Amino acid sequence: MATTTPAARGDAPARPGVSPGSKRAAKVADRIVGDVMAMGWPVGELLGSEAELLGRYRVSRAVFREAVRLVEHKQVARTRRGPGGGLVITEPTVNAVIDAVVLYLYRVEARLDELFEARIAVEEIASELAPARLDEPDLARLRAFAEAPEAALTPDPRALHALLASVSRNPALELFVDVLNRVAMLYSAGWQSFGPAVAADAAYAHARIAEAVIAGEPGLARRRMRKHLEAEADYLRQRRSTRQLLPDSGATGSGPRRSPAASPRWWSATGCSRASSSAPSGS
Amino acid sequence: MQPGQLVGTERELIEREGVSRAVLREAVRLLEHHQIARMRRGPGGGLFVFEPSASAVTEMVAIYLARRGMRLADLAELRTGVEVAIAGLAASRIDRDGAARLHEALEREAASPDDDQADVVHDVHVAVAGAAHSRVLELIALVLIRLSRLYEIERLAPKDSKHVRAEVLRAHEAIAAAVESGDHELARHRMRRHLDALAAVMR
Repeated sequence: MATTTPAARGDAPARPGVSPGSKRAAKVADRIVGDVMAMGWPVGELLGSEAELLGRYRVSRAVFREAVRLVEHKQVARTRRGPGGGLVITEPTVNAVIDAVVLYLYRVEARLDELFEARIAVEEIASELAPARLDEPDLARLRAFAEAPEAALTPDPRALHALLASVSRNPALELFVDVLNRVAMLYSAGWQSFGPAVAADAAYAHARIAEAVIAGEPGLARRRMRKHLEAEADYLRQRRSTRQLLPDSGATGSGPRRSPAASPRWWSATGCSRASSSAPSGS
Repeated sequence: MQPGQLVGTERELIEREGVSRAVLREAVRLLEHHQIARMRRGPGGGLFVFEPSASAVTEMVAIYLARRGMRLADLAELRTGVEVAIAGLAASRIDRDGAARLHEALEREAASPDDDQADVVHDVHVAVAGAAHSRVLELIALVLIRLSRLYEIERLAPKDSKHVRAEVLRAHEAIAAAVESGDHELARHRMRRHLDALAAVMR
């Protein structure tokens, strides 16, 4: 385990058009992250009062407050007000990370094709790794998919995908599979709206993938996963749901942009918790 | 609304939304937190739409994964899978701009002194990811490249690094050539060989 983060190296890519003050703030934010990592990330501990930290990082109050905003966004620390207050170390939550990625993809109007190219790439990796990494509890769970596909479809149709990702024991793979599954929901009105025939197809595909993993055949598991996701992409492309929230491959860059703030449905569609992502309030 | 556009001044927004200044400021804080919009103070100020920033998201995901204690092996296997897929797409889709960026990245890498090479050694990977025209994969690649940068700096001893860096540059030139020629199988193959070799050195 490394003791510093990429940010701690002070090599954050600069955005074009940022003011010198913003650059200084980004540098200070990187130093704060580095200090938190060097301390072993003790959640809840006070990094220092504002006065102490102004002295330590030798910057103006304005630059420091900008840096605090950045580290709050990165979920490394947040401000605690009042006596004994200052910058307190926080635990990054997965929901806030997912919210940030989903929001970014929404704002750049990621296309269905782009989403599925990424889903296929990461889920192929998960399917290929799974046979060699399976333990006995995983095997029992996979058998439930292989033997009783219809029952296994409920309550969460993403369950097989999440299970294969967790079998990999790779936190980044788990995170990306989870995020992309949620984003896929934005291209439709949700699984509840899919007909029984589609649900049965998906359950059958999941069962065949589970069988391949149980049989210890990484190449077969990988091919079946790809086929399943290609079928899902085709289905979503043809369906062109009027309720879909992201543009499909034909609609890039044109038409009015919808404001995420005006579409609360967008948040619930991904299963993200709004509260988890909100900035810490000053109270 | 487009990035850079004015949503309204603080006074306008308080009137339009029918809320108090305190409530509006809390809402603005949330928008700023998610880098959706930002309040500029002073004359000509107001709430402006922010450019969506891949680097801010990349940073957040990378820090989260570093905190989760992601191992080097996890990083290597995911990076190989993702960048091999990207290399294939890039070879099929590369255009004039993409080729120009690839050349610039190679030139920067060849020209930088050994001590500075860590700053530019990933530029070719970033350029290939851009040339694939697949922004979701690109975002994932940027997160993994960001994480790799840290681990590599930590693990390459200065005495081996000169030799390794020369080899890395040759591999990058070979990958770029395959991508530019449009040979997606060769591009995938070379990217896989390069990342496997790199993973072996880091271990």
